[in-house]
Amino acid sequence: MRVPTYKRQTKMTAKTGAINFSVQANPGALSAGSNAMAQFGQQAMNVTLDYMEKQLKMERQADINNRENKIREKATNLITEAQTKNFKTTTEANTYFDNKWKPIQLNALKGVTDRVVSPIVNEKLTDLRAIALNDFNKISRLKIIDYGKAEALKLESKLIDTISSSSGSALAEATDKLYGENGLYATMVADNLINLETAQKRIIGSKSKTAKLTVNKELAAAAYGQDYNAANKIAAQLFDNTMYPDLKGEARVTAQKQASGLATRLERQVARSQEKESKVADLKIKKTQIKTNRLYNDKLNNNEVVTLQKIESLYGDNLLNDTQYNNIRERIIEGDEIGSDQGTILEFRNEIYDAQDKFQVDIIIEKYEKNLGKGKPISYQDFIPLREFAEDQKAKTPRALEIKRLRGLIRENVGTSSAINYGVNTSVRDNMMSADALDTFDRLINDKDVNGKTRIVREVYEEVVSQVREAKTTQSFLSLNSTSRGFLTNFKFKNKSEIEVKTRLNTLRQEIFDSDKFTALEKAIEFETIKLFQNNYEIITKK
Amino acid sequence: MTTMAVPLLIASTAVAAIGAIQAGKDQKKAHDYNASINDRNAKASDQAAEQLILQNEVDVKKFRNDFDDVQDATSQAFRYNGWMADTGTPLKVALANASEADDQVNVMRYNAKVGKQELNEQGVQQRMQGELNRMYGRNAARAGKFKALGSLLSGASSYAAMKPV
Repeated sequence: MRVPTYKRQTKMTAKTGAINFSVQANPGALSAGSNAMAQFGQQAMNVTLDYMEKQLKMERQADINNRENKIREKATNLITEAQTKNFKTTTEANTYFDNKWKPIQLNALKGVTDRVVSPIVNEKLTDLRAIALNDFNKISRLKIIDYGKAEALKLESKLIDTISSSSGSALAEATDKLYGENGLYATMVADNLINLETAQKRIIGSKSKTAKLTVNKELAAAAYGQDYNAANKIAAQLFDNTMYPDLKGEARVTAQKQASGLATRLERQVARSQEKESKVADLKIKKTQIKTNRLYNDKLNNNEVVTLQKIESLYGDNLLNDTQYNNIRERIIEGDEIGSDQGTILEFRNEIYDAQDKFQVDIIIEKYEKNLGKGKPISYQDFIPLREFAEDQKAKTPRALEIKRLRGLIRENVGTSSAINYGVNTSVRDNMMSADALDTFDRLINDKDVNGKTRIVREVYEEVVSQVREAKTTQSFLSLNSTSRGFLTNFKFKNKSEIEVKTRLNTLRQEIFDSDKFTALEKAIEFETIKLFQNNYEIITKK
Repeated sequence: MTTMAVPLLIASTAVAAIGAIQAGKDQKKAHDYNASINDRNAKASDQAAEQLILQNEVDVKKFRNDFDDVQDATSQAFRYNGWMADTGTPLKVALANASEADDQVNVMRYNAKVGKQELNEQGVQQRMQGELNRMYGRNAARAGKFKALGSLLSGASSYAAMKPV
């Protein structure tokens, strides 16, 4: 029988009992919290940095804007101020700008500590300075050109004045200074104040002005000297084209009219003056004779000794007229009548009351003067008060009253009289015109016409008024023009002292000199007129 | 527009922040759930390990019984063949068989221990996985909070940028 044996059935496992762990930590999931924290930290940092950056940028920008605005404001002020300055040279203008810009620059950079802000502000300063300087230069250049032109025009006016009034070397020198190769016009062209074409026009214009000024000065001299022969001579020369060759045609015609008008006016004035002098002399003699007659009649009334030799001597000296001489002579020889005839005296008074004017009064006096003395109706003694009465009545006749009324009208309406001032500016010319009108009226009213008849008062008045109207429309010479009168405003020369008159005239001269409302010629004429007034200031202080 | 934008910004920021927190919480719940599964698997592995040892001892006992039958059969066969069963060669054979049986038992016990060890290891692994899941959950919750803070910060930053100076 087979013996069973046993062999081990189970093999020992090769396993160790340990297994490979499949567990693995997920780094993403495990670090999610830390990552989130880190992200949060990063985000917070970014936000903070972003905020700080924005805040800093804003602060910087605000600071820069503030400084830029201040620079702009001050630059604008600088430009505005520059418009009130009168720069004469580029150096002066540049110095002014630099001096004004320095504090702006210092102020703009004051307190800047930020190294980012500083260069930006500096850059702004540079840019704004360039802009401001550009604007400033535009203004200053215009001012400099204006000044240069003004100076040149002053010199031009002065040289024209010199040329028009000088001769010889002075004339040659002034001509060279104005028209010469290095003269004023050439310099103005070189300095770009005017172009060549304008210079040529100005040369032609200034020559014409010079010629006109020369003519006007000669006319002024003639007028001042009351020399109508000189005025006539100038008028004749003006008709000769070889004389005053630079005078333009139109100006020549105007000058011809002025010269002819002046000559006629001067001639009339001289004639009038002579006539007036004669009348004044006659009146003076008459007054003296009346005075002498009264004096010696008074002596006779007082029983003083009056010799015939003395009376004849007075008559010989024209201090008594024929009637006065005869009456006194008769009174000395024959004596006076003891009493006058009252009827004759009454008749005398009635006639005087009925007289229409002073001429009739004179005729009545003359008539009764022949009936005085011994054996006649009126005694010498009684006639003296009668004569005084008659003289008083002269001012009360209808004619005297009409004269007074119409004369008053002339005073009120011609020029600007002292009686009434309607607020209109007075002027020398107006005052002179008023004085002349009244003088003419007085003269004509005391004249008789060519037939020896007394002139009608109304006709005399109308004649004077027409003369005044003519003078107003034609007179453009030897009186201040309306612009100059405007400068005088309310100033009145009447009763002013010599110093006051001359001071005001000097001021007026400066005002005209500085004004741009006049041409050079007009200025020259006004200066000439002022000069004449200054030399004879009383003309304008009387009226 | 600006008057509408500010409330919208605040509302959207709040929604984003709350959403981030809630997302974190939800993730944590998911991870915690997974961790509880792992814990349960670990316990199952522990029980399997214990069960393996017990089952092996039963098997050993059964084997011993079966081996006793084999030894008896061997002795019988010797006897049948006229051999003395408890001396000489039959004894050597019986001793050899017994030695083989002991080896068998030893191997069975060794193998059971290795199996147990393996199951224990699996439990450890499950526990480790569970612990990881819990850590994931905590991190997810923490991340949600930081994301919420990030949203709030972003909203505040946007509002500060919008707000006039």
